[in-house]
Amino acid sequence: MDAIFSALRSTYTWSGLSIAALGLALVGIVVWWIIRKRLREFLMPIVRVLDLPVSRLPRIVIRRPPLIPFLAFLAAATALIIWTTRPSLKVFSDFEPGMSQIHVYVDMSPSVSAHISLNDLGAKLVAVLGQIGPKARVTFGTSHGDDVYELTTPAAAADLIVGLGFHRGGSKIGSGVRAQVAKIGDIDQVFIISDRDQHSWGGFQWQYLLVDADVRHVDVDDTGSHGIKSNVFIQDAHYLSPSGSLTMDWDVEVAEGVLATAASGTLNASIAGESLATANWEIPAGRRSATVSLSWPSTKIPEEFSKEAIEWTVEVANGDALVMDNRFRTPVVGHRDRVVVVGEPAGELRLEDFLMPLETALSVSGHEVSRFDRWPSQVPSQVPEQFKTARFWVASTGDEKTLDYWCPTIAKSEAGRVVVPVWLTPRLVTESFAAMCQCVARYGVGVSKNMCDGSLTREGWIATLAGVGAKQIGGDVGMNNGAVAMKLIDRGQGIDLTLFTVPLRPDAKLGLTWGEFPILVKQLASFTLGQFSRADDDARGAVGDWPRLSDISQVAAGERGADSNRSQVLRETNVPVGESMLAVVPTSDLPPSWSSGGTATREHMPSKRDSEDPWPWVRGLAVVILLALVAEILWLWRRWFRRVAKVLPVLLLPAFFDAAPSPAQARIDWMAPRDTSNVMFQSLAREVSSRTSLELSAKPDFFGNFDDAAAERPWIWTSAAAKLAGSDGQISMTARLWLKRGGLLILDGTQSDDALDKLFEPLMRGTVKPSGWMAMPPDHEFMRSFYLLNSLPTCRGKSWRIFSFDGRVTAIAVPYSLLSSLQDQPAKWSCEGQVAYEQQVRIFINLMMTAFTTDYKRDQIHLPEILKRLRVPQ
Amino acid sequence: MESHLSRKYTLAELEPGWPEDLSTARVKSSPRMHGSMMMSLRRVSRSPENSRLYAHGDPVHLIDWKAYARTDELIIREHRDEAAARVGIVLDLSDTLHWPRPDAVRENGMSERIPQKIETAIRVALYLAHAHVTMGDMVSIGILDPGGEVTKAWSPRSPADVLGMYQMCLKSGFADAIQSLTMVTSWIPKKFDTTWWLSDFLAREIFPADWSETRKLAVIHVFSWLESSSEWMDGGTSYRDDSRGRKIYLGDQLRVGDQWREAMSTWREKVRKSARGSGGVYMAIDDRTNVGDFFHWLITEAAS
Repeated sequence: MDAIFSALRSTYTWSGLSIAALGLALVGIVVWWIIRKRLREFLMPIVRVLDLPVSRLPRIVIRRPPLIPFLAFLAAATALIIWTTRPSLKVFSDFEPGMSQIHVYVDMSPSVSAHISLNDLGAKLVAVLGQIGPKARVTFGTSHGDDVYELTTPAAAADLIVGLGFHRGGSKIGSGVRAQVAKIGDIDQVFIISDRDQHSWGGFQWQYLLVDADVRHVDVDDTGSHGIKSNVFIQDAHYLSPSGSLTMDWDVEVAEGVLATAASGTLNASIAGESLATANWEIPAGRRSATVSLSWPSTKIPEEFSKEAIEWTVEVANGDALVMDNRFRTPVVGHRDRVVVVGEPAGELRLEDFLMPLETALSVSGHEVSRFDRWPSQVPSQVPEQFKTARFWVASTGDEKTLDYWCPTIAKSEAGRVVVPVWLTPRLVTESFAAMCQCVARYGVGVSKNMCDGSLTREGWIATLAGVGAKQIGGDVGMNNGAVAMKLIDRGQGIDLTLFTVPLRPDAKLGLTWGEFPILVKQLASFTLGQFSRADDDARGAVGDWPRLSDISQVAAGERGADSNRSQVLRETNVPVGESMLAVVPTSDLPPSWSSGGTATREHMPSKRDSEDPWPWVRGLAVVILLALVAEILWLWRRWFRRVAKVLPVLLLPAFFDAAPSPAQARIDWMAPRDTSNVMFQSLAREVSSRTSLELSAKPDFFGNFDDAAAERPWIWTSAAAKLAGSDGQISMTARLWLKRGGLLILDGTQSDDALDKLFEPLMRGTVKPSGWMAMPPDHEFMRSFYLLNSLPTCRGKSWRIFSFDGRVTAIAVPYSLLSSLQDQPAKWSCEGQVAYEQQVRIFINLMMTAFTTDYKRDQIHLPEILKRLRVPQ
Repeated sequence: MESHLSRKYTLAELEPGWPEDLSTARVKSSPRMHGSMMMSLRRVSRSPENSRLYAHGDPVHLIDWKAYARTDELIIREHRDEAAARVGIVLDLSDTLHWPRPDAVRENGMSERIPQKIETAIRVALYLAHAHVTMGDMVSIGILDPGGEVTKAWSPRSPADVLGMYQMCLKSGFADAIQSLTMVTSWIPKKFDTTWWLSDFLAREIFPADWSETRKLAVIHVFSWLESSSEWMDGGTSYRDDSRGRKIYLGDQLRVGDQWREAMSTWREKVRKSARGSGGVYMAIDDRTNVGDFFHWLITEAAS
């Protein structure tokens, strides 16, 4: 009871408590009056049997409360009382007159561990705290961060120290003490438990603290050796091998601290616990370091380890003062560089593919090659990961109209660094370079659009580039015409263009054989990468860029929000060289040393108020209220849960608003010339679902034009072939790529032969030309994909025709409108003869099967193409 | 004495042996058509329901020759033997019938005397007992115990017994007087030809089904006029019930609209149905019910 009274007295005054008691009594009287006077009662037994519509009078009923809400209420009420009566509770309690504020700072940097064990450090802290005495109010902190702990017992403080352990990052006593003192406020005395390490004490102007407080140094090394010991550590590691090399070669520098004695031992490299290589090393007397070479096959570090660290461990034969810095981490380097190649494919005709030799050459010269048909959308989230991780991009040019499909979009760099180098290669020697010129003109590197005449020849193009400052690659010096490529660099915008003047593939006319081609590509690639990669790329360049924290308190202050990240960084950081050197500061530069029995606590200070910080309490209150809310909701939910029947419809309600058809459903994707949104295929859908395992939607999807959405569909029905054509009557680029990627076009209705030939003309290019439009052969897969069809109906003498590309049907021209005869109100049959509805349904089902089964081929040669059609990223 | 037809007497003033009772002599001059169930009507009448055609085997001397002369049909006049009926009057003396308490009424600001429900119930019971005893019936007044059984009863032998009891009631209070005279007895409900049941149906909310085997049943639902109306209620007072469910309403709420009257009507209908379900007739009375209305019910429904 006494304890309660004394606690109350320390928080509240007697007058405050009296006023509160008086107020409580007044409230009680008012409540009594209301109950007694306002609510005069009259016994009336009849009301027990009457079913009255009015609500009953609310009244106080004392019942046993449900446990969880009651606990939540108690917690919330307690929190409210505590934190509303003292909204800005002091971080520390009031000073008693005559008490001192003393802060103890414990340096736990690596160099300290060379002088004292963790347990001894704890014991040292206990000794210091014990000596300071009970009259002082004592706080302490460590170099781990700016946290300030209030002393309960010395033993608890020692346990805390042992639990925290030494940190790998270096510490700066100056910034650490400053941060902690700022949190505490006024202070009388600071004790710094540390060694005499030069790195830790560096930059600490402790004399300034003397204005407010007394500063004392407690040396962890009681032996008087002044802290100079022999220490071996890994100073640096360099990766030597070029990209794509079969081995990974490293040079590791093993160094010694200020005492340059002779030392020897072994060095081991490992990754994820697996040893990679081991070597012996030796530092002769008088030398400070030795370089050790290690090498292992590249295959020892697979690609998935690229985010791991290589851990280097040095073993010292004759003992080492500081063990912590014998481990050293570097990132994994030397993996194959990724290259993105963009160009219109030739389908499964791999040898016909213009970029295939380049892909192969890059692949054999140690690159990861990713191939894309076209440049991706500019929405950042839709850009495939390969574009972001690629070291450089290669694009083959097309014509001017399809610039967006092949001309790379390069983000402007702000830091003056090359974002990613780009190669542009023409497809033909005789090709006009106007398209490439148009593409380059987009980048604003000196080439303007009016230079890009339609008849721009190779020579003219080279001259133009030379005029804007492009450098020649290949050929004789001063003879531009022999240049294989021109290199155009704009460091301000971060643009590095390699513009080829000849097609980048083996060509007998150019004297470039299949044997020489990969060597040329490799040289060009290493030229492109070598020039910028190592020097400019901080993340992967010079090793030793694994974080080396020289001042851990800065990290602690700056990264409070990201605790997991922070602890990861702190755990894996390399010990800074300054700590490893074990250099010492002269005693004269350190604060006065403290010895046991000092008079630290004898000084009496006037009463002061501590700084006040309400935020922890406000946050705590928020957490408690939140927990109470959650508990309340859980409790309510338990009650609701009993009425599952009532809750279920509520749960299902969103489904009614957000219902979508099953994605497995097939649809007729119809590019109709007019609005046909009221056309339905109910009976056809019934037929299809009853005969096959596919569900067909009765309502077709309409597309006004062939847009990106249409290009995602497996098939498109249209009677207006012109909708796929550009202004020149030829198929548009989007539609062309869609057809090549596996789309099936069904031309539903009579088409002019000439128009169709012209429309598909772009697909007829290449050395192995497709056969073009032809009549549907009676043994074609379409005739037996589901039903065995003997013949197809003709219309006015016209028969069914197909266009094959890439070994499969790309387009089918129906001589009449199949959809009109299948819709719910079929159009009148205007062709010769009579065709049964059944026959039309069978034809439709065969068409559907042909369109949707694109993966029937199992041969591995075609696998890349098939995967591409199935939109599987490579 | 002033007639009940000229003055509106209420049941709060009902006494046993009122002139307008159910005895044969009074009935003759009253507008009622029939007597108690066991009463024999020997009065000569030409009304056709008391006569029938002669059937072979009927005594010849009973032929109404005058009627034969007039109508040329052999008509037999019937008469019935009279017998004493066994009448049971079941009186519910539950706590709820001791309502309203005089002190509570005074506290509520009402100066007039308001009889408790039990007084009304006993007045009616004694009146019925007197009437039946006068007619020569054997009457037993049974008191319902809290378990719903009749364990104590009193059987008046003569009208004087009933009147004596009434005098005692006036002197020492109605409930106490009845309780003091009743004694433990064997009470066999099935033996009664007529059963009168007086209760407020608050302790037991519906009529017990095992009483339905009696030959003739009349259920009298006893109220106080304070229960029949909500107009007397005070807005600032709350009206409560002390039983297990414990409901409490503010007077302001109860006085709104017709809700009280409708709730009461629903309640009466519920009890009426349970009584009807047992083959009985039902009437709801309170201390302000007009005696004439009560008699009219007795004549038209209860005694028919």
